[in-house]
Amino acid sequence: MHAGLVTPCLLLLLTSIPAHSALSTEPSEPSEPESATTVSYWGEIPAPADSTRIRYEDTPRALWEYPVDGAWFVVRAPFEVARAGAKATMIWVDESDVIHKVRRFLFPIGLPWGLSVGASAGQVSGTTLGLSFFHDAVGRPGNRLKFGGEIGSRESSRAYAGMLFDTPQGNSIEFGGGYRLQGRARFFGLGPGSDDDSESYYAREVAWIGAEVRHTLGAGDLSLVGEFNYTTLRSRGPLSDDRSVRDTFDGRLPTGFGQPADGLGFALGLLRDTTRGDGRPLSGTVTRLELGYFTPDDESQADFFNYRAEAEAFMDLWWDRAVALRGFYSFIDSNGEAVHFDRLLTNDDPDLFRGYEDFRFRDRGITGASVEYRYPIWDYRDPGANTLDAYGFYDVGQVFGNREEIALDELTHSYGFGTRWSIGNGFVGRFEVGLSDEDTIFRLSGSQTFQYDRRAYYDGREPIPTR
Amino acid sequence: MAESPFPRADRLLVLLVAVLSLSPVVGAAERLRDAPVAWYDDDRRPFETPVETRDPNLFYDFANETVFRPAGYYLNPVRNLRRLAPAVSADKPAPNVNRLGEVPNSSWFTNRIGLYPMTADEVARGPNTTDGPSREGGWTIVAAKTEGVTPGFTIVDATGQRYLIKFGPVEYPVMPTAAAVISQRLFHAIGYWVPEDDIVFFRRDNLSVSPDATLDLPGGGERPMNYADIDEILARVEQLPSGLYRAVASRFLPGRPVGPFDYLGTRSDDPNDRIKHQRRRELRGLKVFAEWVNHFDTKQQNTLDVLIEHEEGGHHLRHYLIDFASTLGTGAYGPIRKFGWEAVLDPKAVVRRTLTLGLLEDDYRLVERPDGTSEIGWFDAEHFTPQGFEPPIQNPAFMQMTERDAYWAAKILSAFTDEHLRAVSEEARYRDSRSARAIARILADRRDRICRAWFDVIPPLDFFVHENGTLRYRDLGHERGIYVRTGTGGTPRYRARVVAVDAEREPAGDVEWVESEHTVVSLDTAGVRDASIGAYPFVEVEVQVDRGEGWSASIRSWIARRSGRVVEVHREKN
Repeated sequence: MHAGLVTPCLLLLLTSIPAHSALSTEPSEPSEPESATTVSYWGEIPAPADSTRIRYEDTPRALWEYPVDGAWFVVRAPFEVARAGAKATMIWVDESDVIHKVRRFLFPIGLPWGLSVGASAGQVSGTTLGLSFFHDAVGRPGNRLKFGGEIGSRESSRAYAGMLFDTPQGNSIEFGGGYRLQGRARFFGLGPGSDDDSESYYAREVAWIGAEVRHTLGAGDLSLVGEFNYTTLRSRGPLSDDRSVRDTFDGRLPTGFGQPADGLGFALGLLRDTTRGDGRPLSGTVTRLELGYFTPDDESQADFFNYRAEAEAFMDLWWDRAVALRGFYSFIDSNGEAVHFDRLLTNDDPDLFRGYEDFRFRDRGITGASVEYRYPIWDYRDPGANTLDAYGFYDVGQVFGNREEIALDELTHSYGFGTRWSIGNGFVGRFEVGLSDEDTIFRLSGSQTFQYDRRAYYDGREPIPTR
Repeated sequence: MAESPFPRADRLLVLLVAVLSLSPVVGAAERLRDAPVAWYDDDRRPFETPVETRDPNLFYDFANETVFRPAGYYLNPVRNLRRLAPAVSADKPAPNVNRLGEVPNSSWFTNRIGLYPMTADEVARGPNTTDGPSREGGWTIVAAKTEGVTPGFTIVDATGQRYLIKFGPVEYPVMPTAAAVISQRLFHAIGYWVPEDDIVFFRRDNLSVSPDATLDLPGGGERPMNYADIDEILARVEQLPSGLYRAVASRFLPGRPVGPFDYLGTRSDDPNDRIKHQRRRELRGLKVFAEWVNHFDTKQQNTLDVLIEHEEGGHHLRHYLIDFASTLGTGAYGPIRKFGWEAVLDPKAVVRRTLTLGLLEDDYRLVERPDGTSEIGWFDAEHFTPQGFEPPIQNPAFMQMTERDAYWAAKILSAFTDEHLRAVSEEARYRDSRSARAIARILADRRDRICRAWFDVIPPLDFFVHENGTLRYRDLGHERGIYVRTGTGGTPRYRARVVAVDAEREPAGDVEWVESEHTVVSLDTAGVRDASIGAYPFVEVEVQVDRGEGWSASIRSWIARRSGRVVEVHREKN
């Protein structure tokens, strides 16, 4: 054994004994007669006197603690510097009221207008950041104006402007327009059997202008929805070096590729929504029936009818757990004529097959169903006020050219897990992972599959195809 | 290659020594002394040096108590090394404890219900020396705030006394005001310094505005107040059909307020503040009382140090707990479910819920109010689990609470009778009498559960009193009905061993246990009589209790043979 260590060890041992005698200064003998006493559960307790008064000192340290604490001081020194910086910053932010001032600038208190920012992430558009200006009382409360734009990391961009007017009777009218560029839109071919290896890209530009009117019927849950729009559509080679549609589908380009597809669309539908808020519905249903018609400017292109049926239901299981169910069916009927490929139906919001990339499948028809089991995993304060839910989901569905193609062996199956954040009755965002036999897809989004917000013109969502 | 100066055997030796040095076997217990027990902490000595007013930033405080301080605490190597040694607590024992395990009276704490019987009226009265602001001559408003959910103002009554008038939100006008008054009475009875709070009812006509009154503006600053401001404030609170308004009136504390105290460290400008706050027993034990009433808002901003001037010159600080509106399942905005059950950010809980797929429910979501008691927050006993209290942000003193600190608190808690609790609940002046009865019942149930939980850790054999050769003690768990009400009925049995010892606690001989059905022990045994009083000046009495599940751990007391004093008590853990 190393002799040089023996002595320090012994010293360490001896000096580690806490000096209890220094812990307190209790006198050993009473120095003055005790005066009035009180009777406690311990018997008589004398009045304050030198003999019963003590001046405590803190617990002394054992000698070994000093080097350990010293080493700990060195290790944590950089974190303490960072903490001091964070403290100074947070105090400055608070005392200078800069957050309040910025908030007043972006969202003026007492004024119904402001700026909002948004973000999402996906494999088509990449990471997108958006900024919009809104005014919720143009002329009078309830008249809403919004315009904004967003840029994505994958050659995508969007700009829009819209207005929405609500009436006290629950009716609404909205109109607006916008432009969207997707520099890396994808095409895999048509039909449920399209090959994953046929993934190819094109640049897609769409511009739209239109209006939607909702008229409340009866008790207020049922609405008649009418819509018309004019859209222009362009497709060309991708804005990136990715494999182009022309190269992949040379000789068998999809109908209308490279040709403009402009035209007028109309739709009429019934919507019944008995849910209350889109944050964490525990009950209610959403049912939608819609009939649309599109007529192209170019008479060589096909006109068509578009039928759509959609239903959602939310059920409260127990303890604030819920199951959400959804089913949808959409079909384009062009009386046998070929429809411009970019006006066909595809798996895009809200008709997602979440284990597959967006726009993976495309054809005249699309049908599917989803089920989600949702349960809370975090509340800020009270359940439902500001809550994070976890959910597992299962999606099944397919595209089809005609109804005979709907078959069990053509169905796609997706499953996955996610978290969704809601505040009060409002949905804020979700992050999920979808899996399938083909892919693993991550999504961060401010929209949801269920209760998909159809405010196309006000929120700048392109109305192609009609959803 | 050069030989390492620290061969493996040496490294092991150093580690062993370090570990052994933590063991209480190495550090010998203090010698017994026949001296009076300390009952008064001499921390109110006047001093002349100035005291600065603390104003900790709430924003940073949240981050500090949620992230930085807990990280420092759990990663501290000194604490973690202490945990390696058996029978050594990672957190050091509280130093401000006398040899009987009690906390002497101090500028932090005054023994009341824990040491002395109190009547229901005394507990219900609390610290209040008046019935609130004088009703004669009206109230003059001298300051006000309109920002926030709960506006309020400062008044001066006809006697010149200042009060802070606070309201509940219009949706829950009774809930937080009732909680504030009930908890204030309870914390006073326990022993903490608290302000004088009372439920008051007043009319608009009672109010006038002082020419010097100011109004705090949103975002900072102030302006002169006018009568329209009173109407604006009162428009945001509930007016009863009788035209009265309900509020809590909190009397201004005597002395000069100098800001809150931190639960960590000491105050550098107070020479009397010699013990780190996180080690003080009354602040650690506060966790048990906070759990009882679900006082989740124990941040430092809900404390107040007040400078008390001495007539002969100098001053000292007195340390108050204030603002009890966030108790009994409610907050300033209304009822709250989660706070008190779980920290705001609790990754373990989130992971647990995620992995269990929602098949397990959290108790805080299951809390129900008794029928017809909408004036009560989310507060019950059925879903309450003792020792599970988690404030939304961490409290440094709570984190260092030891089992003996908790036992001390539970002992005090067990002194509250159902009658005390009913009397205190009536002070809340609920509109519905069922609310007062429900609160009293819930507090009683929670008291029993908490006390039972800690009495199972440390046997509640306490209050040893020697008289004429007989040592009497109390089984608080049985005497106060804790075990009966929580399901362990029956008659407990006791046993004791009595032996003469020297100042080093070395016994004069071997002794056998003597069983009894009573909490009385005779010290006049043959072994004690035969032991020389010079060589063995003390008698050690070791007692245990059996409630049907075997003998408990021992509680030892030492009595000086010459003076007859009980000089020390040591409590072992089950």
